[in-house]
Amino acid sequence: MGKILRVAGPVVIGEDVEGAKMYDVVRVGEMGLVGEIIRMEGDKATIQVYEDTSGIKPGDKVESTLRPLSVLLAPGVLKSIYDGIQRPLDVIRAQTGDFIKRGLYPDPVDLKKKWKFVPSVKMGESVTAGDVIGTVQETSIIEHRIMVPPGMEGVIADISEGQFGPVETVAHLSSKSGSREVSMGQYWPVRSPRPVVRKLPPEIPLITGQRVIDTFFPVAKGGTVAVPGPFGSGKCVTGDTPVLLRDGSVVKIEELYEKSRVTGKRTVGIGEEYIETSEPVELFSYQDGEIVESESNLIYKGRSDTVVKIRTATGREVRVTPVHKLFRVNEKGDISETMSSHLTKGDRILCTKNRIGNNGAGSSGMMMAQQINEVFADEIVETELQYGPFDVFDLSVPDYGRNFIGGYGGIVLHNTVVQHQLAKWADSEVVIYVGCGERGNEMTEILTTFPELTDPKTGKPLMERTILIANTSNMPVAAREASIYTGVTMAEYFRDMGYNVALMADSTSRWAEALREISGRLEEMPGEEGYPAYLGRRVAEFYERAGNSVVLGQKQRTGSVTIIGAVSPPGGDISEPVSQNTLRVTRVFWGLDASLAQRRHFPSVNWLTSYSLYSEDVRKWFEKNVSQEWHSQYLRSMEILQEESELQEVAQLVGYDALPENEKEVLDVARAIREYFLQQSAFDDVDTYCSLKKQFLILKSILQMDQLEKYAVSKGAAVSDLNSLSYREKLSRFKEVKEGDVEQYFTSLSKLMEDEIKGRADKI
Amino acid sequence: MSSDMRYKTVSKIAGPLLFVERVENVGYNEMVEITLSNGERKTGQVLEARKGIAIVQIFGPTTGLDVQNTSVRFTGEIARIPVSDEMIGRVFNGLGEPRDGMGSLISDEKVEIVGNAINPYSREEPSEFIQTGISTIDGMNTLVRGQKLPLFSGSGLPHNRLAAQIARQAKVLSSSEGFSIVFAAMGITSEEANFFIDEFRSTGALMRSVLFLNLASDPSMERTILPRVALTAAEYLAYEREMHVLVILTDMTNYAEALREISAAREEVPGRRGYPGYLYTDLSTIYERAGKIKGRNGSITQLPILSMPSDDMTHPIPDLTGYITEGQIFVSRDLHRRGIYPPINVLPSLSRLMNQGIGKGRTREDHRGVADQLYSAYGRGTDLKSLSAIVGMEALGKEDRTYLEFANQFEAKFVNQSYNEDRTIEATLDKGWELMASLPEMEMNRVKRDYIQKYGKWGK
Repeated sequence: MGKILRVAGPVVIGEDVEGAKMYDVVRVGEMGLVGEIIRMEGDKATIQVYEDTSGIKPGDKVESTLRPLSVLLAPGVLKSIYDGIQRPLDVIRAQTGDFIKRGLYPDPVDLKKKWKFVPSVKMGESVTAGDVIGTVQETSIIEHRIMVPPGMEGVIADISEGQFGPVETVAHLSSKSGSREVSMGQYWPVRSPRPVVRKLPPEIPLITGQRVIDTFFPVAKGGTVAVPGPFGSGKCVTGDTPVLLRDGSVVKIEELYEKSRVTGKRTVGIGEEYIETSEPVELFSYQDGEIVESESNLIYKGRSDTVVKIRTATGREVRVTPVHKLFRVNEKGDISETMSSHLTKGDRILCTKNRIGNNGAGSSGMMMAQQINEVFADEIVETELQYGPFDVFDLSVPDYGRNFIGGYGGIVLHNTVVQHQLAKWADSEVVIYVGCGERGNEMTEILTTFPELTDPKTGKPLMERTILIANTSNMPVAAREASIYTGVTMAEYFRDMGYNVALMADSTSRWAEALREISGRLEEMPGEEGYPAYLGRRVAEFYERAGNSVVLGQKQRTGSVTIIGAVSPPGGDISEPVSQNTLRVTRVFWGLDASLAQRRHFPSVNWLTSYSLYSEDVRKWFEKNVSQEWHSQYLRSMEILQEESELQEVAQLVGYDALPENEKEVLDVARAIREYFLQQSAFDDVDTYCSLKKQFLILKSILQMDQLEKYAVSKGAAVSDLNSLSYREKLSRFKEVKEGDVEQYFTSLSKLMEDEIKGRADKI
Repeated sequence: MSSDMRYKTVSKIAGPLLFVERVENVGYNEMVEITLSNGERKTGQVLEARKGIAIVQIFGPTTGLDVQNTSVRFTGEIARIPVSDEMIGRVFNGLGEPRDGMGSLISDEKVEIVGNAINPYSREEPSEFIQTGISTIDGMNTLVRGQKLPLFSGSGLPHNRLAAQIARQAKVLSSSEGFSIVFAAMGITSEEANFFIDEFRSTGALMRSVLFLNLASDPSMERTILPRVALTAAEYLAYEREMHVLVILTDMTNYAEALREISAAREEVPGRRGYPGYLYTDLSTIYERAGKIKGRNGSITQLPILSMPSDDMTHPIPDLTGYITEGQIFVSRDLHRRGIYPPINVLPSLSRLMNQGIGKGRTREDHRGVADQLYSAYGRGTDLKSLSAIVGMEALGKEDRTYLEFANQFEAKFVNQSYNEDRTIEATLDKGWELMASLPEMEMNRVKRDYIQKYGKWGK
């Protein structure tokens, strides 16, 4: 048995460790702390231990598990919340309470749980690595395909349907080298990429339904993206929704909006507008189990084609957009935010005990928080989908639990939530989120918001196809370093089943810091800013595990892993090594811009700083599947936006009015691109997802407008005159058009523009 | 597994490190007792355990140590401290031993000082107000239970006075729940230590405090474990005794210096400015011990104080601290020179969790508005101050002069408060309203009209 020779912090040296191989996992000391062999010299092995080594002694035993750091890939991994080395955090909590104790390695999935295995091959069939021999319905969305592990092949000797645990044998293969067992799950070393037959060129775009991404900065399936920072968005209610103000009065949100219009600062977009109020609107919010006072200084107005009307047993009533969330209370009394479209009769939602307003009409009298400071779960007796269009409104209540009290009778309404549009809409079946080295209180937010998201395609919780990995800054540094590999290995496993997987790593900067720290412990020669000299290689290796591939197996299948890595450089300075190395290997950069978010331009992807090197690769696909003009339209639009940014500088110097009409026309078209195309509402039922065809036609209309306006200007028309024509309004509403009607809408819009602009020009 | 085996096999003494040979069964981080030839005793900790050799880090000067006669006993225990309610009101050294001459702590419960990380799955978001009685903190950068909010200071600035004042005054408003203070001082001078002890004793703050003191003359090595000892005590009070604990850590710079010293003695590869590469993770294991846990009543709030060498915010210590903590309070040399106490510059200060702890039911309904209005007016006033330095007072308009005067008054009356003045949150907010009254009422656009009528001091 191996013995410890030396202990210094997380680095331990062992001697005579039986079967020691580089990167094998060893168990150190009586507690069996997990470590990894990272250097070998003679019969000595240097071990990096994932936990605190206090109390470990020379002479204590070291045992090799003879396996490199591996994850268990088996039914049950979906919906899990893990730390960096696949320890389930919820199980740890259940076992040892609120602190993570040392030497604790619960099974990554419940080994006792039985899953129904349905074979898809018969006895006597010959199978090779990667072949699917059967399936397990792991969650309501994802079918887990049980595959022959890499490196195994043979003839099925026996296989049967039945209930099996995650590591139980489901089939036997007979091969030249004897009988082999195929288990439900398989272990895989995280640092080795899982093999594929071959990688395909990144020619198929990952369709996200987000215009700025699909048309402007597309990412291919199996591509790599770098993003700085977070996302943001909102949800609304109808205009007649009463809002309970702090003075006890109840005002319809629409009236509140109209009132604020007089004094506040109004910003108008197309189909949406918002007002920054001159003084805060004082409200009540629900936070941590009680009603608190809150305030808002932003009222938003937009449009929605449908709303959901919800009435409760006690007669409380509210109409909200289908994506708007209400607080649902389950049998256990746990509160979760649920989209109104997923609420059904019999569900219970949170309402205030004291009724507010008289059917929403303005009753008055001073109202104190204490008076309504009790909420209860009211049963829904009726939900009804109503077709509009409706004007919808929202109050931004950023600091107070993000909701306000309103509705007929007092229902807690939810507004702004963190946007996970990408996780929701991208045509990837499995989502893996790796939180790496963030603040504990921040991670808490992710762990609470993610499980609340709903998968729009199925209406089921998004968690049904999600795995979360959380490793905060104070958790063992070596586990932080391992966390992104753990994540990407799981991603590859689902890829091998033939799924498209999206992996989000936040943040790779903290991961690189872990790398730096371990390198220091090993007394390696530091490179730039103290990072090890191999930082660039490691970053590149990680992103290289992305890809669209033909996966193993006799029946040809393809699957992909798309990696979206967040970088959070100190002080936002992207000249530091981690950002630079990341930008060098990733091929898409979505430059999220806080100033765009403040101006409520969503999604806040800056079109001038972002780029995608996949544009050329996926061009063929778009040209074949959407239109021949796809790419040329994109080029033309970018040209206009570029021109706009130059002209804006001039306009700032000389004033807009001093610009010649043809330049004003460029600014006009650029504005149309920004507002009618790039801006996309995540909370509008229709606009939240935009098909490629619709994206194409909207842009085509805008460019057609450009042609016509140019013609008109050349004839002497003024841009301001053209703007007053009715085509403008129609163009602005294009994004709200339902998918089925876009072609017809396009044709009529096209004709309208032709008639109006030509007509105006020819009159001159 | 304590052992009576004594080794007289010291082979080498280098800096604070002692190399002991031919040892057996010695564990990493184990505590060590060292007896000098003259009978004097010292404590140490195993920094590195090799087969046959233990490298021991001595807490204290190595004067008088020799290789022949020094005897070493390995206790077989990693650092643990006894914890109990009796800790309150006592003064301990960096190892958790009493230094107030009142005898050792009697407790069955001994806890490892290396705290385990809070499971992210168990954390709760912080949201309740702690009143410090300091206007610039309560009013403008509110401290919230479970938060970690550092004071960024510099040498020669009165951060220790400020710390003592906060320790004396801090309370939670709904005072039905237990509140206590754990005061952890690393590398402070004996004058400062006496000041703290006298202060705590005379003001009665000692009755609800646990003090951990490590003087500048005390072994610097103790400083590396003192914050962990203090936080272990705090965790006991918070999670076992359900108290709200405010932990004041001063001075984190001394802590990092001690860490660097050990790192250098161990011949580790230095990182930025000679600090070890693991400084970030090491600091995070201290700071991240602040927080609240779902289903438990207590909380740990941290107020680390660090003096920035040459007031440099990009120095690794404040830089890395800023990545982990939730905001910062900025102690300004400029204000101090002008004789303002406490010299907190509110403009670069920030509390990221403030909004969660204020408003009706927590502080007062007008809190957010008043803070915003004061920020905006003071910001404008200080801008004008630098402008007037260039163009002269005369060149400023009447209104501008009002704002300039406001900034001066804000510093003199709002920021400035005496060492013994414990302002309630109401007093702080009212003071804000008084100052705002010197400005045109029409320009108070950050506060709600109703509040102006209710709390405003115009024409009164």
